[in-house]
Amino acid sequence: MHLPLREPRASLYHPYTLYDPFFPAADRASATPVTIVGGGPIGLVTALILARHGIRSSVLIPECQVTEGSRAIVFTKRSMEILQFAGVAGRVMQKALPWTSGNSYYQGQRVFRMETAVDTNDSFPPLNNLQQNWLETYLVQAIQAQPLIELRWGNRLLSFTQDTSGVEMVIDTPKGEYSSRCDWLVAADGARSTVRQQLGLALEGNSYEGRFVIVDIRIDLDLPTERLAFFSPEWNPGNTILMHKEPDNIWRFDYQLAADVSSEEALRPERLAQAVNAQLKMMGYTDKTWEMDWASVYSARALTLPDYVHQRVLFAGDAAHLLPIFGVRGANTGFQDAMDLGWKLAAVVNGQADAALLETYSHDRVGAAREIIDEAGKSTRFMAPPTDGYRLLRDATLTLSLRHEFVRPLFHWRTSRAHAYRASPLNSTQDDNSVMPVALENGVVFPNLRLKGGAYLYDQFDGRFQVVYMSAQDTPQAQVDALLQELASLTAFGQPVGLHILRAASATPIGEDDARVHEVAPELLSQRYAADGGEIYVIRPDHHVSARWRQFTPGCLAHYFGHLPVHAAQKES
Amino acid sequence: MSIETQALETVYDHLAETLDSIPLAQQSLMLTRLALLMSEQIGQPEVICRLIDEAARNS
Repeated sequence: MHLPLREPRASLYHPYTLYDPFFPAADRASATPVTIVGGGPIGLVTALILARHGIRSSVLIPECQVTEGSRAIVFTKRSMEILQFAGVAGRVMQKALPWTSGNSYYQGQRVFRMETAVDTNDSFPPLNNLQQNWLETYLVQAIQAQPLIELRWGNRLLSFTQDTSGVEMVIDTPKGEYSSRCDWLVAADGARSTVRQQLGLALEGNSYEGRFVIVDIRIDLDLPTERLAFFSPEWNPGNTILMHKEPDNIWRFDYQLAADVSSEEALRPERLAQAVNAQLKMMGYTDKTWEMDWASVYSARALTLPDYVHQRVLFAGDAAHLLPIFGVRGANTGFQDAMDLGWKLAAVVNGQADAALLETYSHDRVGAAREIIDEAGKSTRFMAPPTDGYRLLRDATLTLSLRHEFVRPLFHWRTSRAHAYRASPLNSTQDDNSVMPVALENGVVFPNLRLKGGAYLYDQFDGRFQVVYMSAQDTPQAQVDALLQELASLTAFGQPVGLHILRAASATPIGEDDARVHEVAPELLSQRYAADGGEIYVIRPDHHVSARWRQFTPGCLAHYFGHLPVHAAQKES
Repeated sequence: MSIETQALETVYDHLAETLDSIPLAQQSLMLTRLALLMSEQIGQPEVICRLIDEAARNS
């Protein structure tokens, strides 16, 4: 019998709520189209995204409360955009600490400072710190107001079998086992994924030798919210210490362990206190009192499954890939999985899309994971050199950085970013992509835009496919009318396609006077969208561009939408 | 680009004496720093990588 913790977890800042374990009225739970295994941030966000697309799901959560400790603490702009689609960004930003600057120190000297650009046309700061337990609490609160999602607290997946139409699950609870069936199972059950292990799937990539301690303390430090990296300090020679400020006066210390120290030894309270005190002393704090909140040990790995779709089982987040946390690549990658998977799975569950659409999820996101593994390798080899050669180069760079500007950019911390699905099977091959500016090529996230009145373009992206048309100075009304007419007759996976016209403020007004026309400064159109006027973009429900033309020609949209992998029965009708 | 034998001898002696002046354990680090500093001067990655490969040969 599965026995979740019955006591609320200890925390200096986050009060834990115990939820009642779920057990079905009969010994068999009613079927939901989608079951999500795992109630971490990725599982919960996947459920909320599916709900926005109108899909019911249940989420199996082994414990009866949210996660222990702060865990994932840095959320990127892209993650916030996804969390906004999921409906929790406002709540997150009330509490989160936004930041833009990273500092690297060596021998008491700041040798590199990185500023991340802030753009007023984006609706969120580039990086935002919030403890994962708070994030999960806000996600749970949003789900409690969402009738399409059922949280099954205290439910652990014991075993499952799948056939061509669904997955049969055996679930263990404090009241015993029950069986349940779903059409699709999303494995968001984390790094030690039960689903992945039961299917016998192997991850591909690299494991690094290094082990790292993360420890959270409550302390009042008069420092701004910035990332701090200390290279090879006297108290931990050769290793790197990272620090992040979290809400509630909590500070994260993250440091590499010497090879001869066991993880158990490293987590002993005296040992943790020794490390924290040594680091504080090095920073000049000798009389500060502090309290320990939570600590854990992790190892740096860069691994992915080569395929995220296994018949009726779909992998997302750490269950699909394990990525080094340098560059905040864990949860921030998982949210992008959820955003890609959500609309595709919804279209398949609705009977509008062929299961081939799910193959594009694997294609898009495995490709992104491989890019991340490559980038993470570059960060890791500087932060935690894997070999003697890399250590020699890193140490040489550290000393040179004190007096030589040219090596300092090597400290640059490659941060999680929105990945471009350049080779996505959903990208048009018959459009003008190859002769248009690369910055907005097929596969990239279409940049957000601040509209007159303070709203943003993304606020109007409602989960359907969208078309954005850049109207030119001399766009003839007949062309706009032809575009509107063509669009009105189109659907994408059974849904009408949204339209937004970005009109240069200097251009002659066009007949279309509804809310879909946004007046934009002409220089903004050229800077942000490389637009001369007349360009047309197709944007997927997850904000990625999938087709574009320099000018609208009748039939171009009909041709693109006519080739999406819709369900055969829908195609005939 | 080339270097006159007399100039090369100057470099030869200076490098040898510098290596002798630092502990054995620090010599690799010093040579690595030297390679990075010279890379900045040369500025051509394909040339530098070819020289690294050449230097790695023992025969």
